[in-house]
Amino acid sequence: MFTGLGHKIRSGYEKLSFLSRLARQSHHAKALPALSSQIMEQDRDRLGSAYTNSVRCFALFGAGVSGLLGCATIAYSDEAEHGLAVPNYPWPHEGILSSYDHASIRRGHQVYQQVCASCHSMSLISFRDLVGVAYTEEETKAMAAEIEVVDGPNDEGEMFTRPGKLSDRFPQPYENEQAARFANGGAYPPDLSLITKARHNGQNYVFGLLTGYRDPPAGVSIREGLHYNPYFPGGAIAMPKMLNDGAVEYEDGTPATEAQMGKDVVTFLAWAAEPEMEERKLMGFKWIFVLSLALLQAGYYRRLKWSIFKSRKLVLDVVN
Amino acid sequence: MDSATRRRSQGGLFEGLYRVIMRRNSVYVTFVIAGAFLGERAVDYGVHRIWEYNNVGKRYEDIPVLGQRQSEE
Repeated sequence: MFTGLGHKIRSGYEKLSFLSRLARQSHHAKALPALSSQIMEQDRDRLGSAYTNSVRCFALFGAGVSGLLGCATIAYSDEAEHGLAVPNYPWPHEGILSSYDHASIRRGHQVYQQVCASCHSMSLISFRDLVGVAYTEEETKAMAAEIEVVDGPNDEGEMFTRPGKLSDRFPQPYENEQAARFANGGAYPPDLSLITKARHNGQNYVFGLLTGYRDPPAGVSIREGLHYNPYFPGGAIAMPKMLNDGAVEYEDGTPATEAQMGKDVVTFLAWAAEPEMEERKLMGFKWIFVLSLALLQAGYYRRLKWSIFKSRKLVLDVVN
Repeated sequence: MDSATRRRSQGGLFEGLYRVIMRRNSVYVTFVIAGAFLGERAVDYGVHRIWEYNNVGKRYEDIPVLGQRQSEE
């Protein structure tokens, strides 16, 4: 069962043990003959240990680096365990000074509402979060009013339903997890509020997953109720392919291809998980710039104050 | 020593800066506080200009269908 992975683990371990052996032997070999001719015996231990210490440190550092490089190959993700590795797409909002594409967030919310919301909740997002990001206040109020919300006991102690307000959270498709599992063959459609942060390389992963449905390769059979998706760990996912060309009609007339809907919905999910991104990038850029100027000032000030000491001269006047 | 004093009396950029703001601590502190206030305004303005230049068409205000009610689905 010699896999490539096994070879890499073995070679990494061998390099590590070889170099640690070398580190242990090196200070024995080098230190003693070099020093014994120069130093008196009583000093040998003190100076010798300092010299051997530095050699040992260097050798261990070298061993550590080589071992790490050898063992780093172990970090290879096994496709069966982690799913096929997703390609990295050039998102419009990646980059140190790039904002979200807000029109894309709006379209993505439309896709979520029409395609995904029947099974996936987004219970951490409120309607008011959309104001100023994808919709105007009036639009959002109208959207919220379309849903019915159960509200707290009235004066008679009864729960009642009312149309939604801006402060309400997004509606949940199922009452609880058990109802969700029962309606989906035992699989729980995860809440999408933080999904792009909750999965490794989340944005690319979700896009790859949504657009990655294909026929299983020869010899792979997926049981009834599951669907083949190479990006899903294990390869068999309970969700069927939801994004099909023309599934949604965009308000702004953008052609709703599978890739377009995937891009828009992932942008929406990325915003939902990280609504503070634009402010964070602005703040980060500004303060790193300001602090690097402050660093220059601090460096100048330090050298100014130290110039007295750096430029002094000491004269030893020894009288024999 | 002589050449050093001659060079100093002509003044470089740092020398000039020192003479103006770092002779008196009160002047130095005033410079720092006023500089921080004005500098922050300038940096904010500059960064926002770069941000808007880099993100043409992606802002909330640039959404083409903004204001139209969502179609009933």
